Amino acid sequence: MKNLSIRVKITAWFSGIMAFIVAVTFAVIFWVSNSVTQKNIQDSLIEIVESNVDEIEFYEEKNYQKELHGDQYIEYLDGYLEIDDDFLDQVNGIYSSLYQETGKLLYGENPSVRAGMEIPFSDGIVKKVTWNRTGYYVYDRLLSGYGIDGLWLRGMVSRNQGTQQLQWLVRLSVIALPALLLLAVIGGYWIAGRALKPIQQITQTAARISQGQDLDKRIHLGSGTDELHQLADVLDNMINRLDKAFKLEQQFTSDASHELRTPMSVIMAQCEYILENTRTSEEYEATLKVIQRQGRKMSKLIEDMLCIARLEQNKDSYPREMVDFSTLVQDICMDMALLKSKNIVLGWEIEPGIFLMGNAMLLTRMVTNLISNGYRYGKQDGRISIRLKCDNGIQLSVEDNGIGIPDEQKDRIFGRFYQAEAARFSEGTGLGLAMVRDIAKYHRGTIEVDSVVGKGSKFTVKFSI
Amino acid sequence: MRILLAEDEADLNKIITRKLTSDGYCVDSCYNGSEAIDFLETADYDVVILDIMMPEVDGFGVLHHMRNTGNSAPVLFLTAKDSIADRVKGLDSGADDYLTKPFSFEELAARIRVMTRKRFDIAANMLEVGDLTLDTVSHTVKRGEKEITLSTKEYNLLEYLMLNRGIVLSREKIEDHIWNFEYEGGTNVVDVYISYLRKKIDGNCQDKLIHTVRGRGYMIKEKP
Repeated sequence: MKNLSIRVKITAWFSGIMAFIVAVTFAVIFWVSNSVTQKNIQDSLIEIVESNVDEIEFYEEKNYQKELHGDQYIEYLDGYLEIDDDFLDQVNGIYSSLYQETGKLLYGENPSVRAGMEIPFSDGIVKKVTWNRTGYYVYDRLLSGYGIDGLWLRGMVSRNQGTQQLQWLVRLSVIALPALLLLAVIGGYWIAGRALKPIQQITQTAARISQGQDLDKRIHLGSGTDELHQLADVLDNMINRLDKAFKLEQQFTSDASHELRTPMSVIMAQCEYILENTRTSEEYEATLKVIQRQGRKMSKLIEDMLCIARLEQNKDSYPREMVDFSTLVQDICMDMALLKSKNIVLGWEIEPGIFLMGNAMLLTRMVTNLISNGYRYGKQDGRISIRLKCDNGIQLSVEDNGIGIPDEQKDRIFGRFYQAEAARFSEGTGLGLAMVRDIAKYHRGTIEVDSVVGKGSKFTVKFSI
Repeated sequence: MRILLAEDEADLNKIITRKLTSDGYCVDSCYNGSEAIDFLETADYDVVILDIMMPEVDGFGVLHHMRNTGNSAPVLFLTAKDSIADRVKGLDSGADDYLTKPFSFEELAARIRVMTRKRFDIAANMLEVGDLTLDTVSHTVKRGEKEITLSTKEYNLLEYLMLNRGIVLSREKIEDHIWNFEYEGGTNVVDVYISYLRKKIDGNCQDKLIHTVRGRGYMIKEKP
């Protein structure tokens, strides 16, 4: 059973049920109509015999007038038994006959007489007898009255009487029902196949995807609203999302390897060059400085990548606690104000006593990244202003008056490894803003950017409390 | 042999330039694609080395521009993008070779030699004119069995002449291929170096190989 396809199982199941129902229905119908028929036969047997009882009288003299009209006269003892012409000898296969108490037949006939069968009399009871594989009903009445005491009137009828219709029905059923059943099975098998076809399509698509690792494939069942179309749509959407996720992942890996390879190739090239020949100590020093610079770059990059990966995968790496955000931001501002790179002035306006449930290390990183961004893209002698306030949620903004961001790049700046061209020679890893966005998200916050090219940019991080 | 290098990572750019220069190539280097295009429009390079991810115009853009303007100089992509798809894209877009970072200088040098061989349609790294031989790998020059010591510029000039043997090369063309933009001097630098070469190569021999074609330039060939 386990190895059968669903199609076969469904067909087998409903065919079996249908065959069972048909058989039961057929049996019930047959049984009911058979008993009704038998009852009818018995009733008409009794009725005819009872009506015949009144048609037998004893007379000492024949009435010729009546004889002419069809009454029968049978010599009996010292007179005549008059069988009225209303006496029904044989109606609808029901035979009536008159017997003496001794069992001698006086009038009429019936199958038992013909067969020479002796059936004992019993008054007013329908008996079943079987003769020659045919069943009969027998109904006897003991007559009483003047001159007819001790006579028996017997009615007899075959139990098959009037059952031809029933037999015809049986024969028809025997042929038609299996034919109908066969039709239902074939039709059912076909419909089940059609209904299950989308599943085959789904299976094929899934198989192709898993064989070829090719997430470009879709099921595409077409229009339809049934369960399988819904399933296919849901699966297609899922594959879409997976596809996008994998592509992003691939892009990230490819970018990461690119970013790591570049400093690595500088280091390798420097080493190869410097080791080729004997060099002056100035040359060695210069080379080592380059290697140190590139090594720092790599180390920063690896650190940033790890941070992003941890933020994504393992939430336990950064436990949350109540952080005094005001003090945290203030400390960073004070530290970074000392940088004075490009002679940029750092100013801040911080509302005290703002607390945030979060990870102090991540929040420090976020604020640091935003401010270093300001330095990196800031103008000579520019300024960076930091504001932290709490009304209707915590709001931190870092504003610079640097080069600004063109509109078409505003979405991309938060992407991983995106760097504005001007920054490509700088120390940045291209992960700073991506990390800021991820950290904000980790604290259920959002980040927005307002920027005008040439005038400066303002990054705003909002946390709901 | 004149090479253009476009690489946006400053440290890498410097070290490659230094290395190739010490190998005797004449190198112009730049840090982005549009600079590379400017260089390509003003000089004739024997090999172009391009990074793919560069500011302003990327490597593909530079290559596209080159091929569109009929510049058939061999191009080598030097890039950190190492996926098969990237390599295929690089080669399909008309690059002659593709080298992924990190790389070894030896391999870079070998690939540059391959590209120059193809460009000048020669089969081996050994150039011969008469009994003069030049080994492009070890940079050794021999006349018969006698080894001749040459300065870098002299070697470059001889290699260039030998690669174009039997062809007359104008002074401008020679200068273009042997001296980069950093050199600021008159055209007679070619004549000066030719005279140095003549002394070292043809000085003691009866069969002169280096010939002056009056009004047109110089060429190297065996006596007919």
